[in-house]
Amino acid sequence: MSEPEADEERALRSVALQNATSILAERQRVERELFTERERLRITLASIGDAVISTDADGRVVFLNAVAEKLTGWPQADAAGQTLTEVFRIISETTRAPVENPALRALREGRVVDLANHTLLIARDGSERPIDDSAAPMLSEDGSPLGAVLVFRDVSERKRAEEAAAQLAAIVASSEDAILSKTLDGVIRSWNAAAERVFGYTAQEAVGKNITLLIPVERLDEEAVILARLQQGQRIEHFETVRLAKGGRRVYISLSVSPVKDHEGRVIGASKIARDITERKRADDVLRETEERQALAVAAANLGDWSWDATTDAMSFSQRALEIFGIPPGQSMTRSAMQALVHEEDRRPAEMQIELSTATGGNYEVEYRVVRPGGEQVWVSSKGKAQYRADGAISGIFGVVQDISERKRLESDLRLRAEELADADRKKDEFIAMLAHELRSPLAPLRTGLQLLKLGAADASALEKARGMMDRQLSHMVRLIDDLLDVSRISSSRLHLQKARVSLSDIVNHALEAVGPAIQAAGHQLEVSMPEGPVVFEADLTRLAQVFGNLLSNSVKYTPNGGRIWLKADVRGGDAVVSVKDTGIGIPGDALPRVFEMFSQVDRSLERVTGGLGIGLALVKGLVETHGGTVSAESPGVGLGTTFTVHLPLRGGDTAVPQTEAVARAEVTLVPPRRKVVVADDSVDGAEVLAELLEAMGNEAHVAHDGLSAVELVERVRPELVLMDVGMPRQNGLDATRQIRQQPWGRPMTIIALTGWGQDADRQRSRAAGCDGHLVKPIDFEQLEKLLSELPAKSVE
Amino acid sequence: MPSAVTIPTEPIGSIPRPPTLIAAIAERDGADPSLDALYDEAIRDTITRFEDTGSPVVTDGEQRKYHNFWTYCVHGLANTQPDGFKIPFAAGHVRRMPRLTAGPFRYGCYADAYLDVALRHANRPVKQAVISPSALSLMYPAETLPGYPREQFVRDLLDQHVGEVRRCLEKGAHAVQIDFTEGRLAVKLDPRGGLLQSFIELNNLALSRFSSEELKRIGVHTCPGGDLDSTHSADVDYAELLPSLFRLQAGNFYVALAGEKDPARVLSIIREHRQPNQRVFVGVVSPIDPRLESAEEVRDRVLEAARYIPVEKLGTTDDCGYSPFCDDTSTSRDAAFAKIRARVEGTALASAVLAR
Repeated sequence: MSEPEADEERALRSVALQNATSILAERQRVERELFTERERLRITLASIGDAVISTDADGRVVFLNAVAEKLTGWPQADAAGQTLTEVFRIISETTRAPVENPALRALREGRVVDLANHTLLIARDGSERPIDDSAAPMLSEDGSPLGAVLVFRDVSERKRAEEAAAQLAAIVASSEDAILSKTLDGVIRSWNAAAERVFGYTAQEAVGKNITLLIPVERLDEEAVILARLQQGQRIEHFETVRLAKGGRRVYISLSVSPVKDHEGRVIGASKIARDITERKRADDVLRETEERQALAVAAANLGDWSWDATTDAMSFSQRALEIFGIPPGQSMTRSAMQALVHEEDRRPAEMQIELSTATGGNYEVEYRVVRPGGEQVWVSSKGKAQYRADGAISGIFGVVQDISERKRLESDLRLRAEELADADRKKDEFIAMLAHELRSPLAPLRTGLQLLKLGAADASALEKARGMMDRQLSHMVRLIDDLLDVSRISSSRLHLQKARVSLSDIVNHALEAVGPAIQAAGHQLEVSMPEGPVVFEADLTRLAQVFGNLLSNSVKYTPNGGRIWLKADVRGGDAVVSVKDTGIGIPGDALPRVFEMFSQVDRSLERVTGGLGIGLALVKGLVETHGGTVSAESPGVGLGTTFTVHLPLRGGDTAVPQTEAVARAEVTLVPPRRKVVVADDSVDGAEVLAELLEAMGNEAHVAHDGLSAVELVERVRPELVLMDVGMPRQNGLDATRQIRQQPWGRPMTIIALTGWGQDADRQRSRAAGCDGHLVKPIDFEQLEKLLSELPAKSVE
Repeated sequence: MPSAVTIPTEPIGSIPRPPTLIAAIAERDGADPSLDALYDEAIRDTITRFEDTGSPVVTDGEQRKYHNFWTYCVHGLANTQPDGFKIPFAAGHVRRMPRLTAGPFRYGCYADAYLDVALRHANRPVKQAVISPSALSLMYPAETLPGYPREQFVRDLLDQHVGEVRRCLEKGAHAVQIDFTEGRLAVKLDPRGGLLQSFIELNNLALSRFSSEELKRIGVHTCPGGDLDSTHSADVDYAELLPSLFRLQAGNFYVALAGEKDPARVLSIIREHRQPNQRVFVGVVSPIDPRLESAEEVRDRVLEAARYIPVEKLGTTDDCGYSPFCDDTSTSRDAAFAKIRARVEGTALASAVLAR
């Protein structure tokens, strides 16, 4: 080799050797990269969630990652070199028979092998867990097996999730509610069996269609609102709406919608649960209508309702109930507090009734007064019903209350009115009875007078006396009837006054003229006091004379004979004031307000002095008021006299002309009787004419005009027959009869009650008093003859 | 014993260029576009004649490697100088490598460009030969290039080589053959084997980037060099080379054997060091031997090899290219194809024998 060639070769060697160094460096770099890559792979295997086991070609374990160590319970150090079947023991979950190891099969067949389903891995400690796995052979470049890689994972969680999903799917499938899902575009994705039932579409018909298939046109806006809320991640719960079923049938549903999100939390759709509430809705409608009707009825009846919870003792009230009880809104109430509002007089009775009703399980109804906090008192009607727990204890009471104050007031008014009507009716009956009596009283002497005239046996003076008597009685009847007519006219405002300029003295004189005979007959002393100057005013002279005549007649009647009567006329304050005062029987204080009422007599006592309809004072009041005046009565008390005062306005006042009739006293003389008879009658004329008739019939007649006189007369003359008027002054006929019957001499005689009172009660009372008969005036001549003829033959001693 | 045995046979690569082409290249630069028609014609003719030999695998005869098999990819690069190392041949002439003067190192052309043309003409599978990275590694000078360290050069070299091979595979090359004739040269330069080991490592770094499937289509060719009927390292004992050679991760080895004085010894070494997955194509004709081998001769060589190498891992080839250097006209195209035909026929005969 030449020198240059040697140099060339050295240089070449140098370069080659330098290159060798760089090549080595490169190889080392590549090896580092490989190492790094291997480490990455190792770490990847160690970090991978799946368990990894690799084997050699003989199926012996070479490598386990951490997950495989954990699942098998074999650490790498222990597992390395072991047969795979020792480390990786698997059985069938269903048969528990050993399962062929997939890695060994992969080695044998040279292909990827997946594990059979339902495989259990038995760990080194014997614990079991379900796994999924697959195995792949590792082949060399010429295809020869180098080993196998087994990858497996614990699927316990997945199994549980699958079971849960299966359960959920079963629940969805068997749910009574329609459950469906849809995309945000509204495309239906799932559809359970209940959805088929509710909406009528099969899953095949519904899935893939838009949800608007179910939405009525007028409710399409709802979907946009639902979608907007879903996109905000919100749920829609129990949204009640209407949807369309197949065929257009409308279905009421309660809709709950939840957003469906992907794994990144984005809303990608919605799940809907729809409950068919059509039946409930109908029931609600019926219930609501019922409640509305009830509320209307409650409102119409102005009812308030309340309830009491026995557990909490709390009361609750409707607004109307609060108003009725006067409870301020918002105030809490207990039952005892509510009871305290009940009037103390009604509280206990009401509670007893409520307790009795609730104890027997029934409803109660009670009325009581409520005293509101402000003191106002109202009547309420309370109706309630108790509610009971299973053990029978009362759980509460609910009820309604109604303000019945107005009804109670009306009832009270009605009751008062009824009493007034009853009183008026009673007075009317009494008046009619009195009217009959008063009309019969003159008829008796008239009949007697007529009988006397018919017999013609009496002398001329007796006949004249009889005619006078008959005239007076007839006048009396006329006056009675006129009074009745006047009262009727005044009541119906049909009385026409004949006014003229009259003087007060003329009026009084007319009155005195009319009453004078009666005053004289009674032996009364009359004092008249008139104003000094003339008092003239516009009035009906006749009517005002009637007023004062009535007042004077009243004094005459109710003043025992020999009494005193004052008439005093005066002018005060533009009024003519005329008072009539007597020393009569007076008027009880409590009767004073009613003395001017129609048909009113202080006491329809049998002791009344004179007859009369009891309309005189009513007539006075009506006539005075017709003249624009007033009349009042005063009395210090019973037996202390009475004062009537009339005020008559002097301007525009009326005057009246009294129409008085002088009643002439008639004296009747009777023929001597064959029977000894006592006639007791406060009607002097009636007694006298009857006595005369008896005497004309050949009997001996004696007359008495009051009860006491009658007893004395009977005791003295010992008659066979007593004709006893019942209503007489001093002592009534019945008491006189009792007194007579109590005496030995009074028992044998015949006593016949002779009265204008002919009602059954009157007959019973006379019989009870000892009367043998009861004749109603006027007595019939034939009755009298028959009575006399039936008297015992033996005379009374 | 298999009922049908087909021993694969493949060419090494180069076929002498037509004289007109050689003359034209001599007159002009080999890259002159005006030569394209000549190149194309030469390739078409080469492939046609290749196929006429019955060779199941053909090449383009490396007609466009207008300089040589070694520097085709770096010839004429701006960052090279032609004053690189000289490769001395036994006949006394030298071939000179270009010298890298600056980085970065990039190929001027890639062999897959040749493959594109060959595939247009071929009716049979086409094999493509590329130069090994270890051969090109000698371009970097002894002195470190400023701004371009040797390590970076090595990485660039590997990238360029791997890219070239991968593109050939992807374009459909039946096989890619890496010419590693410098293996025996390395032993010659460094009898202790250090240089050879670094060449092996460098080439393995490249091979490690391929998958096992790809490696089945990649082979390494080693020979003592053949240029102008001369070698550069025929004096190097295969025993020094082959143990290291079979450490290469390639799937195929094209080993010159016909020119060896003691083929049996070489086959013994192969048998001893071949890895199970490695197929060995033994050289059954010698391009530098002016004598035309007969088919029977070839047959016998195959049968002898079959005694050392499993038939399924045995193949036949030429000992070397017939014209690794463009201007080598020591062997005529006719002679080359005659030898190829002998290889093909002899291999078939052997297959028939082995099939019995």
